[in-house]
Amino acid sequence: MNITLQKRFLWLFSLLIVAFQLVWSCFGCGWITVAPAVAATKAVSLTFFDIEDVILLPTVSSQRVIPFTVPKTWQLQSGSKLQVQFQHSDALIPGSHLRILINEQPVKTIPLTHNNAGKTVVDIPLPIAKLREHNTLAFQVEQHYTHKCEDPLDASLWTQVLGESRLTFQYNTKPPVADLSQFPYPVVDPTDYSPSKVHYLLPASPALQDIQAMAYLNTHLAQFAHDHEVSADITLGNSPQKLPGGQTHLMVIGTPAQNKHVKMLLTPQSPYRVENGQWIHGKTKTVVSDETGLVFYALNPKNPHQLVTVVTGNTPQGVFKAAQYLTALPRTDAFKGGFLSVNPSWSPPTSAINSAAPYIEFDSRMFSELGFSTQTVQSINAPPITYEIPVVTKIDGKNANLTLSLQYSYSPELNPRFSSLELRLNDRSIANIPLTNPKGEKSLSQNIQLPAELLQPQNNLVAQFHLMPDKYGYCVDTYKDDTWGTIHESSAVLVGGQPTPRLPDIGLLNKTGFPYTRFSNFQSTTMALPQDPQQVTLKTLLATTTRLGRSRVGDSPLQLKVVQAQQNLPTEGDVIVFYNPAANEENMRPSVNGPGYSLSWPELGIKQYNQPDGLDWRIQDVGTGGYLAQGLLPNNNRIVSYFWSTNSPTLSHISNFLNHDRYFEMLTSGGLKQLPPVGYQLNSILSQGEQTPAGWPWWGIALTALAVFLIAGVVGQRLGGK
Amino acid sequence: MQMNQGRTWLRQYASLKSMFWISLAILAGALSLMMGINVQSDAAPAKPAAKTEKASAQTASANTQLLTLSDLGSPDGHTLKTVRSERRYAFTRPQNWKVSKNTAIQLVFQHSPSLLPERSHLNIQVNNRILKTIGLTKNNIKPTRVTIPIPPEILKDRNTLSFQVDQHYTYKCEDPFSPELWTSILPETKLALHHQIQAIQPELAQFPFPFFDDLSYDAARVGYGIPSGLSDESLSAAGKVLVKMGQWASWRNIYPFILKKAPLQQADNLILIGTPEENQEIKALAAHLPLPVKGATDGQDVNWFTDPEGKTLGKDQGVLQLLAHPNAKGRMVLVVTGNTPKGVLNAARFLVQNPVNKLMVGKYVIVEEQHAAKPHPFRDWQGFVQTADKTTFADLGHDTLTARGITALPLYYTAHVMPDLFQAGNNPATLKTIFSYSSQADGSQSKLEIRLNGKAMKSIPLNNPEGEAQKVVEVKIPAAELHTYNEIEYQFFLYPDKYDTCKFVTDVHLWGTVHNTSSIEVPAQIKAPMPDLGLLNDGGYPFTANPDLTDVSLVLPQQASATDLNVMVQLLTRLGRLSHSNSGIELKAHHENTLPEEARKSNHLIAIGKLGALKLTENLSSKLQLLVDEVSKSVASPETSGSLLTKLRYKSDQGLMEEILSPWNDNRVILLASGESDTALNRLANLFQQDKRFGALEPGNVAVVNATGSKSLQLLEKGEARFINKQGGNGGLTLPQWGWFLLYFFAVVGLFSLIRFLFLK
Repeated sequence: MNITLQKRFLWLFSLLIVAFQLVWSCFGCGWITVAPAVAATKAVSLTFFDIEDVILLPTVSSQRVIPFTVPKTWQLQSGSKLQVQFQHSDALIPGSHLRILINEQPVKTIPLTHNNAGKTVVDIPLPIAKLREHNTLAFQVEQHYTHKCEDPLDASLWTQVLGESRLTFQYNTKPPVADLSQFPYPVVDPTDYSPSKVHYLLPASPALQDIQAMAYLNTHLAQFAHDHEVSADITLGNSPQKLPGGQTHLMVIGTPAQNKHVKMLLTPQSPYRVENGQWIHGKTKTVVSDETGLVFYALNPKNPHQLVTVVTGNTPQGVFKAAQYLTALPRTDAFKGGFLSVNPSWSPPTSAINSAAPYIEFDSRMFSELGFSTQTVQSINAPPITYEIPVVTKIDGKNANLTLSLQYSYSPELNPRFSSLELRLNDRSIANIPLTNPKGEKSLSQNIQLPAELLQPQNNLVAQFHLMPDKYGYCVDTYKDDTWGTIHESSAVLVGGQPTPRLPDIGLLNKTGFPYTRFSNFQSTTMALPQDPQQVTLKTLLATTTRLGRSRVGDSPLQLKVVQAQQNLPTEGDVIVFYNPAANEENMRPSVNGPGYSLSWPELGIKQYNQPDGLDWRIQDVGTGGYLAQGLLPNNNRIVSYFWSTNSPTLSHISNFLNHDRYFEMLTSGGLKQLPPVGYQLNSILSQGEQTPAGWPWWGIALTALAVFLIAGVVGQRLGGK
Repeated sequence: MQMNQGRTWLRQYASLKSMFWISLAILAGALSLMMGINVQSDAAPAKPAAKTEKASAQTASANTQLLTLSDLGSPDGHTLKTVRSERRYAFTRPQNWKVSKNTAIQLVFQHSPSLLPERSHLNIQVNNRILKTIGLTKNNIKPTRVTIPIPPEILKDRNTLSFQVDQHYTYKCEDPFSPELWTSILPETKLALHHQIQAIQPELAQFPFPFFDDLSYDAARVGYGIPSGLSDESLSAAGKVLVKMGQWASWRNIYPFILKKAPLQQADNLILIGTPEENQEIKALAAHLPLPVKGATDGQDVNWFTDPEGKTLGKDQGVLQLLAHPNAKGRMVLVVTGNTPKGVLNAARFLVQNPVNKLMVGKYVIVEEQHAAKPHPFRDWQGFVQTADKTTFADLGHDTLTARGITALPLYYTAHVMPDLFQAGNNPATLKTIFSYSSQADGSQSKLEIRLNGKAMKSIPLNNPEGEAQKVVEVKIPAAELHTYNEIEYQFFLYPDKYDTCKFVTDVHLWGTVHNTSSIEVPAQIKAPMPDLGLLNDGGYPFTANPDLTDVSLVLPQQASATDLNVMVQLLTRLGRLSHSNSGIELKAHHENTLPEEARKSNHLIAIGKLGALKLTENLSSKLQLLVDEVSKSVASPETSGSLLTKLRYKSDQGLMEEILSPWNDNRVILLASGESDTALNRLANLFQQDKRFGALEPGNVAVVNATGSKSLQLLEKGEARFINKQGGNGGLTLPQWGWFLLYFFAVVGLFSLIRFLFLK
């Protein structure tokens, strides 16, 4: 009996061990669920989807479609619902209704009656079985004020869906799939409604390559996230006070000798082991070469819900190589599983795609290059088609101009008296193209000069189709509206002449990241750090790489450079300096030039304002402000931006400013911006750019040339006479 | 002289305000268009006086702001005409407000009895949110009152209240302009904004907030602690701060005053100026100051400012400190001080100098070193035509504007002309308009009308069915029609092609745009006849010709009284409101015994003081155009050939103001602000404080100020006049571009002739 029991225990124990090994090995395969589900609720109001305060549904029939997502890690539960808040015109007659569709399937039809003309709230369960990762929510109305002759444009035909309407998701979280082939997912999930949070764990005194690896990884994550907010933080050292919770992804960077987290996260199933602070092959027991990089996923032992990415190697060079490999685009060999080692002989591909930057600098751009696809709108209340076009140079209308080369199509059966394609630039109407062919047109082309006086760094170009059906009027028998208009992605913005640079202008960082995003691999960008960067300085570096990465979709292996104060700044390319006033390093000290003056920070707490004629200011204050500035470096008018503050809390404040779209979008044109210690309302201090000395007027040049010609003639005549 | 006719100070700022309201209306229109609404708005911009009226809006209780339609720009209410019409009003939410739930629109309206009830509706909307739809039925033909709550959460810093009507009188052929189509929003309509005041943290980075809040409805009340016994340097500091505060205020209503009681008993924003020794109120505040005053709290008799480590500050170091008013929530106290008067002056120089003053952060700043500001260029007035050369609308600070639809809003542009741009003869100015308009407009009816100061100047047919882009039209403006302050109005009349009341028409595709590349060219010379008090009303000329007031010295009696200081506060604030410096403020202030000889000879002088107290007048007696005879209580011109030209009796409570040519400099004037009594001086102060009275100041060299406002302002004819046109007596040659061209051409030809003479003879 006892023997039997012993055997049973042994069997059970063996089974447990096998099961345990399977768990770990399968975790490495990437398909295992590593933590139990967690129940949660997320409410998302319609204002999240960039709508105005309300969705207006005018005319007899109209529709508004809103895309929404369900993150892969959510298992929706039955309590999920859509709450619609709406109101409508009192004039609507029975038969009018509001229909709500999800993924084009009706989920509710609400009659629009006198009883629900005021603000009305209706809860609709979400059809969770029909929801996918990407979904659409549509509001459709059919509404009438009379059974007799009806004007479909009558102003009493309206229904408003209020911005407070919201989607409420009840869900259980599924653990993400730990498969490096999907990297950067799940570290960054653009379908999530919350910003992706990433926390880097670096050695107490990170090597420059460790920092560079972090910069690469973070830039790569941001390029993948694009419109999705990413918030990155950092802890230096092996004894973090308190690591962030399970919603944050941890990124451990460094060698096992310097970063103790690496060994802690190592699993028995790993093909490599750490001995004496070094990586060795599990089978051969040989030390991993200095040039080999290693990457693996693990779970935080203290928090089994938290996924950790480890980027490591036996030397900082190996660590950096691992980061280069993990971020290299386009992917040449799709890596799989939860562990990978980078061959020492591997090097990033040298041929970069570096697609055209999505803004106007000196060259023309197709709409497709600016990120705009072909768009079609329908019916009498066709919504405007909006294009955000950044122009990062000065277009003055004399030396340079912009022309819109528009490719458009429209449907037959339009009323030629009223139908047109109107173009508005920054809320000003600039052109109207009559749509007069009763048979419609395909891919017509028209050039429209964009008035230079309206052009700004950020431009809002609107193409508004006014589509009036042919048989349209109060009392037509068969009112039919099958009209449509299309703007093709083959349209282009053409640059004529020679635009002049607008730099330095810190405001151009907003939306475009210019000039640092000229190349999608950031090959002309250098980030300069103090010699011993503090944690808060590296957090600012992270916020900056996040912002730049999100401004430019990646397509090539990164070539961003990171240097420290003891090194000289590069002689080419543009630079971002993270200055530490306490370190007071000479070559890092900000010096910002404005029109006719410069501003410097010679000592801690002292600001020095210099003018060429010696009209100087020097003031002392508590120095709690943060600064964002831009100036010129010697050699080819290269651009240098400075981010700094005299104390850590405000520097952290700057990181927050860079991280959050709602703050960063307040960044406007200027040479120097001051961020007060409280709030995010920037003060503009220096005006934009350098003043260029006025050139000679053309007639001055012409007359001088004439004078020289005459004198030469006289002299020539005299010499010839001799 | 024509430049002086019909000008009022208010007009200058009216344009700014109308631009604000127009911009808001256009922005709102654009938003609506983007949402696909067919907006046919006849909404006019709020009247220029709206700001002033807003400031006078009644306050029902401490936490309720009542805005009438008059405050919003429609003193007589507004009638919505045509089949579809909309009127928009802009209103704000001040920064330190928390709006309460009982905020509401108290609407009073009536409408035409001919309207079809089932097809006529009035929508009331705030920020795109329709708050109420009211059917226009037989029940509300007579004045009807409706209260419509506004949810506080939909309010932003800047908001739009909109009344939209859709109204019809027939199902058949309907004339959209029929007089039977009307709904009136009556003037009794009010917006009741209930709110709580929030506390504010002192932060110099936000200065001049909360002294000025663009969103506020109240006049900015600023109490100045400027004692009588200040040194010249501290007095100059006060003068600079006063001018700069005026410049910050600009079109905003401001009520500055001299503190008559202890600062902490005055529940307003306060500015205290001077050393702790000079200004006892600063010493009294020592316990509240962020930077300590040694001696004030430990009983030592030294009164030195120290840095946070306790080290005494240097003699020349200035100190700026901002603290929350201990006894008034939401109010601040700014202290401009130092250990010596020079330190005070340095602090003030820093405070008023753009852009370095934006470097301030925190609750205090120690100014260690400073030097004079880079001068703001002479005659560089923002928004003014400054030379005879072409001036574009963009140069004047205007944007390209678009109007839309059959009831298009007029587009307003201001074209201010410098008061010293002298148009001799009848050479007309040229207005070159660049405009665009949409396709498919009815060419027989559509047109663009250009009006100048309310008078139609030209009508241009819009008859190209394809529309036009950046078309150019020139209009000659007779010299007599162009004043210092001018308003150009562009009215697009846009009708759809083949307009017919019995067929469907739409106007969503119709628009007209005026580009800010349009320009004005005024053939004129730079010179101004002086002395002329009326030019004060034209932007503060000549004292503000240098916008940093670099050539102006203020002179006070040796023993300046509180009344003298009150006149100084109001006069300098006014000069500030009339000017704009991108740099610092270089005004100097002196007591008359210490007025430097150099300043007397080089600068415009402003002398303030009671008759007899100012010794300066004794030196000027032979130069004054009108002498004050204290015995006969009259002002009179000096005898010429044995007879008095003019004689005007005055009373002791009448303020007197005279401008004369400086006897020490041909290009400078002296302004005397005087009177016999405190009442007289206070009336002078009121003249400068109140927009309406100051706006009524007319041409002449002497003004007598009574208690009853502008009508009592009696003027005498101008005496000897002189043209001045130079800065510091050394102004350069001023020529239009073609003049330079000719000069250059002749120089080259001359050079050529010389060479030919030398080498080819």
